[in-house]
Amino acid sequence: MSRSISGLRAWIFQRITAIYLAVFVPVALGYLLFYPVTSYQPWVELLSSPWVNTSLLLFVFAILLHGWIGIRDVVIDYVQPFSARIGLLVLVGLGLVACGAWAARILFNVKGVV
Amino acid sequence: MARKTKRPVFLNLLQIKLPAAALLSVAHRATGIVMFLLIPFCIYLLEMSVSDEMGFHQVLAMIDSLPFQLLLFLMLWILLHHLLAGIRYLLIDMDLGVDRVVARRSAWLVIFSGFASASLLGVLL
Repeated sequence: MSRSISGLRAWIFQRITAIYLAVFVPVALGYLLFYPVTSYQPWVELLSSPWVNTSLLLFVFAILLHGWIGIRDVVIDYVQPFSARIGLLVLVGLGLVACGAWAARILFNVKGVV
Repeated sequence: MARKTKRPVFLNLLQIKLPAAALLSVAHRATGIVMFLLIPFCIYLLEMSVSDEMGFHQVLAMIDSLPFQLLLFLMLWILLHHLLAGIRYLLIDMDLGVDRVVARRSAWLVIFSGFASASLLGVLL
């Protein structure tokens, strides 16, 4: 795989994304716990408001990068045959990019009533 | 050769007793893999919930069903366990709690508080 995402740099990205996730996830869950959304319109309004929408996009990016590095570590540790390793990594990578595109499309298209 | 065959090869996984920190490390990986596999499902739920009024209520109804509630509790536990263990690793990266006794104690702390906080939140929800 590319040199830019191995070793120390991967380690650092793993931690930076971890910190974002460790802040975002409790805040998001806490918010939904205290202000439960029970109907469609407020839900769409919430997701389309600039702060929520942008932080969710960042969340998607962070979780995909974090997941990529984590799964990559696991695959490198346990899958020894070269072709199986590369095949699996390509599959995981494509899957994650596809998930990112899918989630981004949803978030870009959410529009509340103006 | 003879010496090699006499080496104690002991790989009965059920009889190897791992220290708490090792157990936590394995669990951190396992929970990470589970959450990774759940990503598409979560996006699917998000898409359904914003599609229209009916989709939103379908998602709510699904979340409210009993099997899903149990699954949700499991997911909450997995998430909190991964989160707390992750915070422990970040602290260890900063040279906090590297000492074996402390590391072992904090590993147990993470294991118990992960389950405890998941249970507490599960009851609250």
